[in-house]
Order: sequence, then C-alpha cells, then structure tokens
Amino acid sequence: MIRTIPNPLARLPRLFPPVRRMLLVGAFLSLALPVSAQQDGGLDRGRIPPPNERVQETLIRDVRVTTAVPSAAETQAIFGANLYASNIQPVWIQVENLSEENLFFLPVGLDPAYFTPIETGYRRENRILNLNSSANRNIYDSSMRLRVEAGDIRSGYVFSRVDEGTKSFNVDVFGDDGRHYLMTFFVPVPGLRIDHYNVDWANLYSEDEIREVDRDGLVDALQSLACCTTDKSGEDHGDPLNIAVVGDLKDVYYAFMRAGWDETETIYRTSLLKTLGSALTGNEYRYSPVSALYVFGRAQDVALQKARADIHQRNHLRLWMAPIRYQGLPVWIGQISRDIGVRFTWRTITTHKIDPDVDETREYLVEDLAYAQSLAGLGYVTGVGAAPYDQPRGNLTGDPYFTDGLRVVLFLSDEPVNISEIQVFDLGSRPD
Amino acid sequence: MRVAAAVPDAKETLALTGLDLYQQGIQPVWLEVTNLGEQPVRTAVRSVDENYFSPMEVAWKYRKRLSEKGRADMERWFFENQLPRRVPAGETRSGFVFTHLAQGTKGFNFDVYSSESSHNFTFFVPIPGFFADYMDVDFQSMYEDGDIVRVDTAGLREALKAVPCCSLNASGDSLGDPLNVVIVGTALAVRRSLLRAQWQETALNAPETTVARTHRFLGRPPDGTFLKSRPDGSERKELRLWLAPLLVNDSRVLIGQVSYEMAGASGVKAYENHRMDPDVDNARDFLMQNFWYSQSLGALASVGGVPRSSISAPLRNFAGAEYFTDGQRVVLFVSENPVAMDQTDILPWRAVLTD
Repeated sequence: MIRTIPNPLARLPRLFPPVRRMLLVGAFLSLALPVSAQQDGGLDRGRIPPPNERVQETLIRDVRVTTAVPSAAETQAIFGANLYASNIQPVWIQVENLSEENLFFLPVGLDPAYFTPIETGYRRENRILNLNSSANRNIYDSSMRLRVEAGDIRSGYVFSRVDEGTKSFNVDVFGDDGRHYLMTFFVPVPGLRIDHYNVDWANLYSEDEIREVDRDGLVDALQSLACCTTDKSGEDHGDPLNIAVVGDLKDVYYAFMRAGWDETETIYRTSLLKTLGSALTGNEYRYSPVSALYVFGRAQDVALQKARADIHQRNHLRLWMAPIRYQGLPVWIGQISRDIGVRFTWRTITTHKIDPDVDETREYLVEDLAYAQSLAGLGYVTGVGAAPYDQPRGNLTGDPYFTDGLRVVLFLSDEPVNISEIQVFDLGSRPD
Repeated sequence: MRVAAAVPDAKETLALTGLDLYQQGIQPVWLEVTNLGEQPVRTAVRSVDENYFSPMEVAWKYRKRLSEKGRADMERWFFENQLPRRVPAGETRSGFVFTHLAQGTKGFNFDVYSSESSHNFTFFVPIPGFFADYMDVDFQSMYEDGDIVRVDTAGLREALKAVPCCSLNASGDSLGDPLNVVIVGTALAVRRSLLRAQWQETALNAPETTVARTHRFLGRPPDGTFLKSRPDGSERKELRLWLAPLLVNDSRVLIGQVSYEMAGASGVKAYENHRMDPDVDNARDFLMQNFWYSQSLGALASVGGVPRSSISAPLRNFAGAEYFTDGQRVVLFVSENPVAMDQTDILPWRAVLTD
C-alpha cells in the first residue's frame, strides 16, 4: 500500500541517499563555470554562415527554414577534413522563428542516425579527438542545436549520412504548442552524380488531359489503368502496378523519406559492398540508376529505394503521376518490389530476385507509411488482374509473381497520423 | 481482440521447419489473433519487426541443395504459414512472422488496426539460455511501501530537485556520469517505448555493460542497461536506468543516464574500454527524439539538476572521462498507446533544453 502524503518535499532528504561532499563540489563547479555554451570560445554558436550560395528556403506560416549542403570539397575547406570519406555529409540548416512559440528543430527527421559532432571527429580520425583541439571545436561549435526561441534565428550543421547526387531530406520543426512545420528539401550537390529525376511537373499533362474525379470516379479511373509496367516499346508486360498514391509531390516525398526511403544509395553502403568483393555489383549499386519501367509511355517519374538489414535486401518502388486529380491532389500509380537476393541470369549479369509474393510487399508498404505517421487512409481497387500462386505471371526479367489482383490506394497526410487514426475505406474490393 | 504469441527456440524451429533458421539470424514468431469485434481487422506485421523477412525471402535463402519439388514444397509451406494480414470479424487467424534473431528475451510489439482504431499488444517471451540484467532485480520488494513517495506531475518537478546530479563510484566518494534522463510511465509503457525505439536489453553481467555497472545510484548498479547500436558503425548509445522510490499517479519513475559510447581500441574487447562522447546532451536530445518519433511520448519536460559545464572546461567522471552539459535533464512521460507527434504535450516547467 502506498501512502499519499501531503508534502512530498518533507520526505525528500530520505528519498535519495546522501552524496556527501559531491553535491557541494557540483555546486561549486556550477558557480565557478557560469559561462554558457553559446558564449564559450568566443564564437556565436547559434549563427553559422551558409557554406555556399546554393541555399534553399521554405516558409511555412511563421517559420522560415533555409538549407544548404556543402560538397565534398567545400566540406574539406570548412572542416579541414574529408568527412564524405567517412560517410558524413554536413547539412547546413537555419531556422528563423517568427512565431511567438519556442520551437524544436528535430534532426532525427533529417537523418534518424545522424552523427553527433564529437562522433563526427571520431569517425574522421578513428580516435577521439582532444575535446578542445581546433578540429574538434570547429565541428562542435558549428553544429545545429535543437532549440529556437520565439523571434530567434539559429543556424548550424547537422552531420548526416552521405547521399549521392541530390541530397533530399526532411526538416521537422515542432512548437511547444504542438504546431508543426514539416518540410522537404532537395539540394543538388556538385561533384557527385545527379540522378534526381528532372521531371517537368508543370508540363507533364495539359490542363484538358487532367480529370478531376470524385470517390467513385477515382475507383473507376484507377481500375481502368494498365495492369502492369511495360518495356520501352510498350509491348512486354513487367511488374504489376499494385499501388496508387493520392497526395502532392511534396507529401509523397515527405512520407516516403520519413519512412526511410531514399532516392539514392549512400557511398558508405557502396564501399562496404565493394569490400565484400563484388566490383561488378558494387559498380551497379553506385552508378546505375534504377532500371526504367514504363507507364503512360514514359519511364517512372519517381524512383525510391529502401535498404533493409542486408545489402542485397532492399525494396524498390516507382511512381508515375496519372492524369487524375482527387480532391485537388495528384494521383499516382506505381509498382513496388522486394529484392530477396541476387541471382545470375542467362545474360550473366546480376539481377535482383524479387519476392514473388508481391501482395506481401504491397502490405509492407501500407505499414511502412503507417508507422511513418503519414497515412490518412487506405482502400483497395482491382486493376492488376489476379494471378494465383500456382499460375504465376512473369515480369520483364523473368521473375515470377502471384497476386490477388488488387491495387492498394494510399491517401497520404501532411499532418502526423497515428495508427489509431488511419481510415480504412471500402472502395469496392478488399483482400481475403 | 485476443492475441496469443509463442517463439520457438532454435531446436523447435528446426523441428518445425526442418531448417536451421536461427543459424541465418531468423527467428519465427507465432501469433494467433482472435477478432472478437464486429469489424475486420488488419495485422501490422511490421510492428513485430520493422525489417521482418518475408516468407518467400526466407525460402529463397534455403533454395540450394533442394530438388525442384522440395523447393516448391518449402516455398508453399512458408507462404501458407505466414500470419495473414486480415482477420474477419468473429474469426481466428494464426501464422508466423519471420523476425531478426534477438539474443535474450524476445520482446516485441504487435499492432492490430481497423478503420480509425488500433489495438497494441506487447509480448516478452523468455528464450532459454538468456538472462537479462533487469530480470535479476526484484522490483516488487525493492522499496518498502513506506519509502515510496507518491506525487502528482507538479510534485514530480519538486521531487526531482532532490535527485543528485550524478551516479557515484562503488565506494560512493566520487561522482560518475550525470543523471540526465527521467522516464515516467507504467512498467508496460516503459517496455513498449524501449521496444518501439529499438533499444536492446543486455544480459546480466555482460561484458558490454562492464563500464555501466561501475556507476551506482541509490547504492546500486543500474537496474537495467539498454543499448542501441549504429546501423553502420561501431558507435552505440547506452541507457542506464534505475527505479526511483517515486510514483507519479500510478506511473513509475526511472532515473537514468544516456550517452554515446565510442569503441576505444579495436578488437573483441573494444567495448570494455569504450569512451563516452563528452557531449552528453546530444545523447539526451537523441533519446527524446527517438521516443517522440516512435510514437511513445505523451509529454515532455526538462528540469535542471546537473551542474552546468562547457566544452572549454569539461567535468570529469570518476573514471576520468570528460563531459559537459547544459545541466538539463529530460523528463519523458511515456505512453502505452501510440501518440502522434503533434499530440505530445510540452510541459512549461522551464525552457526545455535551452541550448
């Protein structure tokens, strides 16, 4: 039985054992060292200039975020070290808080495995640097902190894992009152291969090609799209188009990035692969973009991949913007596959063996977006055409697959949604 | 909703499948879902292991040295014995999820959801041959009833002022690392949040926790030490927790310390001489985000309590390791049920993590 006592403070001296002189020592130190971290070292830690002029800016209501990504050479110049070689890519962030609330900038949203400043120095040298060496202080003093007070501007670096080509990342800012500012940036980095798909979104379709549909119209439209991707000639059928996504381009990128999907590989994974002894595969990973599949007579508009635990294990997905709008939002059709191994085809090149149970992969995506808090709702339509387990169809590389023939429709949210809030719509079909 | 779970050990898995899945790092988890409601529900396989193996992926790993028929039979077995994604109203479905092998207690979450509703389950299935550090602690009789102080949330803020800055060494005469974390929640909420955020438990007296065990608070080494390793390197985060004689409403209070640890010399015993990242606030801030993004954080606050120090004049713990901190402790109120990020309350105790 636990007693409730009126004044817990009266008992506090007994709560925790006495620490004798240590608290006094602590108190003394805190008096002796009144210097705050910002003033320390003569640098204004919260105000770090951008590394270059390739800055990108987004304003959401009363919060302005500006970002820039230094190239490998610029990083060398700023930090005196080739951080890229250690799989570290600094990202410069500036948060301008024009609101009356204090804000948190959350670097986990940018990279869930970001490096601490001192870890950055450790990685670079493979030993822990002297805390106050200039190399260490240079990194530490320029790091971005989490807190941005009302009316303040803070800038600094987040040390993320390297992305080749375009650096794409989310910036999440949360206010004390629960307000949130979720942004996505695409920053090209010179000196690395650019593989961002340069789609001219504005001219993809003419205005009269695009149909605005209601719920029933959406179901009809999605069900009448092609079952599968094709090759360039449009003749041979490839992987089934088993996903549809409703959301703005920025919501699509935000959601998938939040769920850990990347546009590109990282140098680190590639070099690891190389050390495993497959130059052929290594080159493929590092330099070959994802192969082109075709819908609407063109290659994918968006290609993303997500690495799992093993290097060979990754999921690929491709999306095409359809000439359909639902509640003013673009509708995308797409394909997802799970690599389960590498196999050698008759062409003697390595190809990824895909999981023939494409419905399983489809359901994985539903959950992946749900746990990224990005899924407002889902439902199912037909359109793929069933292929039973015993009568599988084949894709362009000869991988067999079987499916219930359904396409999942994923309605993205630009607000965080927890799993209890996801709506399951009846769009006329559902898996067994 | 009723869910039953079982985890076959290596021998049982071999008997069941004829394959040594444990050898490949694959641990099957059997789940049975009985839907007592009136709506069909969906099982979230990914909640059990976010990088789970698909059934056909497991089969692929064993394709060699099998006849064509043997291979086809094996594939079909895995396909048919997977946990179905959908459970109709009033029915029961069961099957396996193929997870990554965890040493020790198999702890996992399992979510079942339907339109605008979800049920969240947590399982801890002991695996023979592993004994976690916290299992050796008798939490029930750790404190006499009369020693436990019951407070409300505001009272907690006051009570935390009495928590010393740091852990101590074994002889109690020298300060260790700062106590920079407070976790408030039911036992279930704490376990769920550690699972959601992918912290790994450690075995009793494991070599990895040699350093952790030199730190004493309330006269004892940590009640539990949890690790979170980098996916792409040797660094890891270490979270040491002690149960405090405090109750906030019905929630327990754990006081602890979190830090990044970097391997010292390379080699098998690298972690016995690991080094703490002196920027301990960075680990604290990571932990806060880690819980926030994994939908575990009902509320968040910050209190002082640790002497402030700076990088130019760092403090040292009893082992001589340097650290510096803004002096704040993060207080994480963890929730049993998932909380969307914008639903987390930020308590205005004081400017939270001001730097």
